[in-house]
Amino acid sequence: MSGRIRTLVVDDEKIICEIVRDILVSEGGRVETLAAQSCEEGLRLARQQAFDVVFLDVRMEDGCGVDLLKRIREHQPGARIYMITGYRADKEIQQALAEGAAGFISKPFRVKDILGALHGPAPASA
Amino acid sequence: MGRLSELEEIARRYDDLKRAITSLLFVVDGAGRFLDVNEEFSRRLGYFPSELAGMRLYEIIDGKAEDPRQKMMPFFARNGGRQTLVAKDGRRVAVSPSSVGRYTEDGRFAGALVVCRALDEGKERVGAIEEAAQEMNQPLSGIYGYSELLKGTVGPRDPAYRYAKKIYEQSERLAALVKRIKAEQGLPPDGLAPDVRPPEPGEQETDR
Repeated sequence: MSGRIRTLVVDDEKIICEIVRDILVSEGGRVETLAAQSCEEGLRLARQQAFDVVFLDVRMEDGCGVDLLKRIREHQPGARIYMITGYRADKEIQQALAEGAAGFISKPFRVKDILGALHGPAPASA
Repeated sequence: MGRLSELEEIARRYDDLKRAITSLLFVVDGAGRFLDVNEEFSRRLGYFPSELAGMRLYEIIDGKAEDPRQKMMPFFARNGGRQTLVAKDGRRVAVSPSSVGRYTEDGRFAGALVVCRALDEGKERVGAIEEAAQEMNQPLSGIYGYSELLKGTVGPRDPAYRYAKKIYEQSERLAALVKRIKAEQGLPPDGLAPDVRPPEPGEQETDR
């Protein structure tokens, strides 16, 4: 991936939006990040502009991240979307993967987890 | 021990039981009228003891049987199986009743002390613990991330680097505790799976 990388973070927890954005910003000026704290705001941003990588919380107060994933993919089929979750056993995770999510990141995550997702999918695990 | 002392001892043990028991406890007379309930009964079903004065057990049992006695019968058994009570706000509360009955000298039913274990109790507690563990992961993500960013911002000789390292190490301890709590609840451990979905043909990342 060359040039600017446009990213979107959607999580109703402010601290998650902030830390993901700051981790991405730490990569330098190549990464542009917008954050949304609700499904509605996330969808509005996804309708307005294109993103290369999207980080989506699985469960938000105003809706399900999987539904948002489907709607974002309608507008941006090329975006790589990662689900962020505190529940690895989530049924939603399986749904999200079936709906085209590139992978999922478990909370609490490390800097390398976010940067790993930013720079592309890891080789498929066996 | 005199008769009065015996009665006082029974009353004291009953009060202890009422306070200590985490299940719903109530006492009814031979007609199923409420005589006493414990705090857990009120908390779960929303009825204060004063509201239950004059009410009968069958009025809060969910079931098709029309005959009040038939409806109440499982609650007067030693092991009443799975039954459903209706809370004041209409919620259904699944319980497993067991009781100790009192009978008159000529063998007529005179009342019972009934203890009902709420069947969703364990599930609710697991859910609450899971929720709390999940909530701990939110600030932990922030602490991990910012301590790592701080370490990357300052050099290893800077005192702030050592402080950030300490914060990171302590947050790792907390994360281990969260994992332990989840494991105790039978939940799978966390971990990163950046891409568990096999790539589809032609799905390689392209530069934009």
